[in-house]
Amino acid sequence: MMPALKQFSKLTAHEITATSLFAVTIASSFGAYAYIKADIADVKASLTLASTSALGAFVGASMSSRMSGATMNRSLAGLILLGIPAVLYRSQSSETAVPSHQDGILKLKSQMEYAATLNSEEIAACVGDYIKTNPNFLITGFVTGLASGAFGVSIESLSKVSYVVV
Amino acid sequence: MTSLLSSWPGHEMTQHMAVATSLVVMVPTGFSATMVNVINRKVHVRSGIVLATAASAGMYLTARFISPQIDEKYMRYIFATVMGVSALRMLI
Repeated sequence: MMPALKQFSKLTAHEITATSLFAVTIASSFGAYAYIKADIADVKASLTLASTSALGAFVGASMSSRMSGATMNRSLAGLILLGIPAVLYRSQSSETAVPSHQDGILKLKSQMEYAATLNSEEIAACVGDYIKTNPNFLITGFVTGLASGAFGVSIESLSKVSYVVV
Repeated sequence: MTSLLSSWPGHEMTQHMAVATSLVVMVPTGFSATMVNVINRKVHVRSGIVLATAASAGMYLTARFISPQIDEKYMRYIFATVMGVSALRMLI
């Protein structure tokens, strides 16, 4: 989307980044809603990641407003180039050895049913334990948010779009 | 993030769940950055809505009618090529 905007619009690099991120966010909202409704998304993991990614995005967007358009373009191009080996590598490896889709959904549904029986204090304790056992999620969230905020659409989104399309 | 979620020891998710989870994360992340961009008057709201509509429709049509006809391996090669050309176009 961003190269196309650069080619066919008169928007500046900052406007292209901001507008495409806005568009992707809207499009993602519909997909996210559908996934949550279908109990496919792991809401607990999402909230843990989002707690730092939103902060990272805020910092990234603030940083990018101080970057020149040329620096922004070069940085984004570098990020995209870095993502190419990951896309090609995934083409050679089969789907990662993870639980089957049905097993994953069943496990998630049982977790959601259990969560529905908890009161607010138990949920807070549960989320606290989850964060303690998954500190890496906080770091991953922050880094992803920083990249998304600074460069609009990160490699993450690009790879996700490729997966959705495939 | 998707790759990490699907391979994190003790938390292995199916690829579908990992994509769903990271897509959910993208929403607050995108809104957080968009808030800063709106304050800085960098967002063209009307263009963004048009792009979002077109992107959603394009993704749906591609996933529904084109992707099933193309082998996944070739699809990824095509995607990598598009990424490479886009990156070079941004550099030049």
